[in-house]
Amino acid sequence: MGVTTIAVLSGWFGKLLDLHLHSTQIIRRLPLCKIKESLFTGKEFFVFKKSHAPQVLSRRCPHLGCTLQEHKATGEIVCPCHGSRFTGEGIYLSGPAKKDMTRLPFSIEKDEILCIQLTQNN
Amino acid sequence: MNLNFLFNRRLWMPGWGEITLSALMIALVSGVMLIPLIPAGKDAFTSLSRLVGVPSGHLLHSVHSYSGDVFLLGMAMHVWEYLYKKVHRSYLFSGWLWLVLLGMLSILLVFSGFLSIGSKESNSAISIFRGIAGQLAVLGETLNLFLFGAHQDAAVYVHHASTFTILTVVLTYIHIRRIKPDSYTFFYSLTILLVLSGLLPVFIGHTPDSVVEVVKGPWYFIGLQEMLSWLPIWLAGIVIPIAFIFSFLLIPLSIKVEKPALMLFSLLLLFYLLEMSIGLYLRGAEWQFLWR
Repeated sequence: MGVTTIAVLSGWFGKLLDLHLHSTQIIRRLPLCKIKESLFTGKEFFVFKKSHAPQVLSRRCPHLGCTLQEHKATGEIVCPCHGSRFTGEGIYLSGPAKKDMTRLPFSIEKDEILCIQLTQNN
Repeated sequence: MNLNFLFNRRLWMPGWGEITLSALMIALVSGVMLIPLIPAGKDAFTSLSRLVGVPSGHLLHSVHSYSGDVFLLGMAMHVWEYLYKKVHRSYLFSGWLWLVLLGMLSILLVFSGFLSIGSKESNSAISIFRGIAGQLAVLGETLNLFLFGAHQDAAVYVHHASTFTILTVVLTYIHIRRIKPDSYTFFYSLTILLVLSGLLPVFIGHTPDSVVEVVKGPWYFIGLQEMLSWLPIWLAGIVIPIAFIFSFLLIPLSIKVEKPALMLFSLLLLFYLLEMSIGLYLRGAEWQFLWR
């Protein structure tokens, strides 16, 4: 029974290690021409333009990961779970998040496709 | 203060333990009927939406959902009754440990059912739970892996339909040496649940991608949601729940420890009930107070 327990624990450890070593990176591609409004809302990210350059923010609240929403009336970004608020550029305003929204790395392909890098948890 | 009126068995109010057991059995049977109708994973919410579009499907799902709520409420009243009557003094600590485990599994069983729906509310709850567990480094990652799988797919559904159900039934049998409820209480409870489900069908939640004013979890979860909005995550999500379980665990340890453990347990429970009331009735859009 002791051997079985150790074997099960080792198996879990192996799975965890696998998860760490092979964290999946997902690439989302978005045509730049789609980013017309001041804040583009995708399923997993927001995109806005700052000095004509795109900036990408994760839609996951930095507090506990709820999906953030744009408040159309004020242009702010809010969390519907615990009330954290951010500016349209992801700067923290109020609520339990206590930090700015996460910026996601991206690249531009052929001057027209925005390639956004999401990790498994984004 | 004499609270026996809450616990005396009457024709129109059977014992809380029997109500809890009846609710568990009704949930079990209705759950088995729902398994082929709602697949695990990403299509769960779509299938559920289609199911509740049909009156009989909505009734079946509502009975299952309400039986889970009655199971939790019945269990809470049952625990209160036995603490009030000091029945815990007749338990050996080892037997009490099994009971605490049964209580925790029961909450996980009902909660995992909510999490496996795939609605906006349940996806948000999964994010919150993962965020809390993330505070615990490797232990939290292991917990997340066990509960939600590597890619948050069918794992929580499987745990709800099998792992937690089987463990709860087994521990219930260890607790009372049977799983068949009293027939009168079973049919009494079933009638109440059918009438309730017919009159007030359960709302299954919003579609995952919808934009909503506020995301509110199930009633037993809202207290935690409210605490997380103003307390640090490590305090609201880890320390307070552990203190709650720990104080309950210590109650039958010895006569000296009983009173302080009961006081701490009662205080934490009252605090949670207060937070739950604030979250349910005073929080509106974007989790702000209604008067803002």
